[in-house]
Amino acid sequence: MNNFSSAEDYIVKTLDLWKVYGRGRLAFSALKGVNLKVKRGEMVAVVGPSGSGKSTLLNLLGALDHPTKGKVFIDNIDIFRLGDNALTELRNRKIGFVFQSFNLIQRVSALKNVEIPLMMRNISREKRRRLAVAMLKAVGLDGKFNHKPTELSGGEQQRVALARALVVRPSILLGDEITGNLDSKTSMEIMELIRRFNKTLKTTVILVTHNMQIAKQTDRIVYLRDGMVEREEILNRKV
Amino acid sequence: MVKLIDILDFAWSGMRDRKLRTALTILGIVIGSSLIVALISSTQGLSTGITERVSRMGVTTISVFSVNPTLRLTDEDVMRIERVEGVKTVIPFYRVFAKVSCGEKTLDQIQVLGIDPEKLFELLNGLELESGKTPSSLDQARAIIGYTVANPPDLDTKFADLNHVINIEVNVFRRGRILKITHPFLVSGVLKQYGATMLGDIDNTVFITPLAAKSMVKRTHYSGLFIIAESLDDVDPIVKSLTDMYGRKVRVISPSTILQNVQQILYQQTVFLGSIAAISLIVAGVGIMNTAYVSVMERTREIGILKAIGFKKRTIMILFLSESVLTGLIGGVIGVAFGCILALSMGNILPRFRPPAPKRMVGGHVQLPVQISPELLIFTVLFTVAIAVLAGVYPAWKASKLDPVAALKHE
Ligand SMILES: Nc1ncnc2c1ncn2[C@@H]1O[C@H](COP(=O)(O)OP(=O)(O)OP(=O)(O)O)[C@@H](O)[C@H]1O
Ligand SMILES: [Mg+2]
Repeated sequence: MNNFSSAEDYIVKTLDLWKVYGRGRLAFSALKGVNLKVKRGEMVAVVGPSGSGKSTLLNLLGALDHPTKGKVFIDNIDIFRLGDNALTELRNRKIGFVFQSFNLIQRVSALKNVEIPLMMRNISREKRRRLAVAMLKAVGLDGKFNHKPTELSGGEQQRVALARALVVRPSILLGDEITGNLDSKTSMEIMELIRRFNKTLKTTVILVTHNMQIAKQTDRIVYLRDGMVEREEILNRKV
Repeated sequence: MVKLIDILDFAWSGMRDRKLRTALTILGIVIGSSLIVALISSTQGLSTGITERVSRMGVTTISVFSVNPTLRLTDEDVMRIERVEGVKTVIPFYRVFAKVSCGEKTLDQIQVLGIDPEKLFELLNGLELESGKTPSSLDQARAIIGYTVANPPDLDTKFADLNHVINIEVNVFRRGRILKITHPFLVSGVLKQYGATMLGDIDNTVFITPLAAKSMVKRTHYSGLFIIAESLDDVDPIVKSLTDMYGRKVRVISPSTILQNVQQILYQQTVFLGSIAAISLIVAGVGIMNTAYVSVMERTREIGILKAIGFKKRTIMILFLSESVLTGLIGGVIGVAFGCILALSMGNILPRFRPPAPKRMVGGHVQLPVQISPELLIFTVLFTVAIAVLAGVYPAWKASKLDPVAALKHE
């Protein structure tokens, strides 16, 4: 069903990625030369023990942080050669983030939260609202548009967060321990949604997780240890 | 680019989220900006009020008062001054305070001016009779009464009207004793409302001829003289000749010297009060800064979220700055409105606290108008907003500079 035109069509590619925190004797290398390639439309899980550098890697892929050394290509663009504004714009257009702790803005409604990423688009408020409503319906939150995050369950909040990440139709969805605060049933529901969007919207998904249950639902598992890729396990070859 | 309406919407939701803090910050701004409006408006009103009084006499009018008992201004002085180059007319006058009665009704402490009736109208621009006519300058039995004398506010009926007889009672010093002397006058004219001048409150004055005044107070010297110059250019040379003639025994007042003095004093007062108000506004600005800073701290995580979503530094800065600006704008507008109310009530209340006007002094006791200029209101709002911008820039800049990863980890 997914059709890759060439073997080189990687949406995400890292080249000898290093991240060193601190300096001198306190310097700590969280990533030590990570090379990772993700195909367009692929769904990848990054697993590894705590402190292995999973979040660090994800933040670099999402251009939230800068690497000490190495490169990240997104759609064949060497993103860290972009200026600050261009990088921010790339983040807005191509990347959707979902976090463990939902990270919604508490004082505005679910609908407003989903509308926020569209604020930078040159579209009317009506159209923005329509898109946000459609997205909230797509994650199964019909009828709770005007609820504030505090008035929603954890699973519902994560659905809002997912809607917010996907409302701009990013090419990549990055998730850091997104089911970490949810029970297993809700976790499975969220994973079901993500799998569906991966199929229908062709969104590339990279999930960081501890949970092998979650990891097993992806196409490929990347094992990280001490800041290096230990091994990979292909579950579903999408060719 | 984010739309203005979205920015305001976002800022507003942030402000509403912390209602009390926002309200207190706005209160500080309201106090500062309303003080500016109230204080400057009332001094400007004072300035206009005094200027108006002075210029009613005409800018070519010079007044001369004896301030030394050894100098008595008499007809000789009138003739001497009339010969001075540039002098058009000299108008001498007597001034006493008297008890005036009409039938059963009595008014105390009424100013009685003995002045040539025809020249009175030359002296006071726009003075008009409501009824009756001007007595001739030789008439010793007729008087013109001011509007308030005819219609005192504390009487239900008129005090006196045309063709009524009024009795003027003055105290005269004779060989160390005080004699009460009463003369009857026929009211031959009633003046229209006029207001305060250098000659005191015209409305609360009875005018008789100099001859009548002279025979009543049994005095040959005048209370003072008014000199009308041919032109404005003659005023200063005349003032100089008068000073040469009389030295420091007279006080010479010309409109230009009054206006200069008044305006200088009021300018200083405006600057002084204005700075106090401005300082209070700056203190309020510090309040804005504090609020904005705390809000950036509290919302660190939100800033991280916005950055992850793809908000540019500039946009985040604008979002936070607009909260400060909105605070300043709301405070400024409320403050200006409140300041107008304050200024108006000050105009009404303050004169009641002033001591009664000294009896033998030039001038009178009149409510001063408060002058609120649109420029002042606009300036105050702009100034407030400018302070809010200055106060908000640093916290907003801080917000835009936050590291997204650290901000997202923030509790
Ligand atoms: N800002 C920082 N300064 C210093 N060291 C850091 C910083 N952020 C992360 N580290 C270190 O880098 C290493 C990798 O951190 P990272 O958050 O990527 O781990 P992780 O794999 O996501 O772990 P977890 O599963 O517990 O979330 C850790 O040892 C951590 O202590
Ligand atoms: Mg982590």
